[in-house]
Amino acid sequence: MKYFYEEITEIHEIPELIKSSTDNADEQEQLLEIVRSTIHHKVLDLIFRELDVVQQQEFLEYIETADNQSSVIDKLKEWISDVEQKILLKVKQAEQEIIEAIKEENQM
Amino acid sequence: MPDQNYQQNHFNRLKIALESHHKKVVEDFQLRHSRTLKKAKQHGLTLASTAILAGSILSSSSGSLHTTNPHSSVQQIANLNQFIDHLNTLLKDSMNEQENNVVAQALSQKFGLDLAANLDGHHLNEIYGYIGAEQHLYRWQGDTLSLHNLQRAGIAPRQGAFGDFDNTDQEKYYVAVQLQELPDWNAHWSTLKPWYRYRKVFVYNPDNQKGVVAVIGDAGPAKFTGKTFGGSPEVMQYLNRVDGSQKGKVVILFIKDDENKIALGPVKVSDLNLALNN
Repeated sequence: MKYFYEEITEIHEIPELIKSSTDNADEQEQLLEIVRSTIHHKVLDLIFRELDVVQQQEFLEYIETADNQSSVIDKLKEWISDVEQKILLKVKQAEQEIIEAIKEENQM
Repeated sequence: MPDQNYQQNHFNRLKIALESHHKKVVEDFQLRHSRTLKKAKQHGLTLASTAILAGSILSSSSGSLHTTNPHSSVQQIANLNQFIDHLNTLLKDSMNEQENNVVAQALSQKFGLDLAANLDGHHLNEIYGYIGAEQHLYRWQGDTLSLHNLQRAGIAPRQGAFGDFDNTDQEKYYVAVQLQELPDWNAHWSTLKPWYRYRKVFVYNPDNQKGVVAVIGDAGPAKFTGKTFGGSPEVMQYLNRVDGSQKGKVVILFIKDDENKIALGPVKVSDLNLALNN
């Protein structure tokens, strides 16, 4: 499943860190899936914070019926100024937090 | 060069660290937006909340192999069962690709199988629809109804779309899917037919949460019947599905089984085993 934030940005550093942690493709995929879901929740948190209650429900309705994830971003642009930049920043922050968690583990 | 044990331990520790971080993020999110999520559920907004829940479950249960906390396992089972219950509210006619994938992910988790709505670029028109009762099929030349179980179901006058079966289990656990309705069937049937021939699928009855591994053994039923799939007598019996006015719906998904290791027939799930194996 592709998350809507992945329409505008991709993470690069974490996949490389994961690859350096294990050679097994299945294991890499498992770890990456956890990372993607973590970032997804961070982005959803950002979106919900920017929307009022009515917009939140409209947003959820829209996600449910949207034909493709890129249109979700277009819809968000109607409500949130500079939403793409905000998502990019949030993804970057979330990525850094995860990298810290990985590095802490690597140092142990 | 690190040895294999070191690598495995490193992977396990990293996974636990990432899961721990993920768990915190999800819990914060759910706590902060509980009203929104609750309201969404009340309004029947299934996909978004289901996807969120799926994200939590996927990573939380994937760590259970390495956890020694029994409370955690119990919680994961509870989460998964809750999710499966919730899945029934997601199932509807004409689901989109994303919804199909959520369903496939959830059932993969529940039954410990690698399920997909889209495999090698192939997908059925629908993964959820009414299933009708099929008769037995002649497995090969010389076969007779008397050699089958559940003989009251009768036997079709002709063989199935793929001719001879390779073994008895394939006929025992077969489904019919509407190959003739695939958009590219008429143009590419000569290449599609070998791909679908006795392709393994998972058939799931959401009403009783029973699942069975079967093969695609025939084409049908006709669209005008209002049914999307057909099931062999054994498939219908195990799933407690019947035809006619009492007919019900099932989910059908492809099974990734490149090494042909998954046996045909009912899939029994122990919740405890599930948590320990995921």
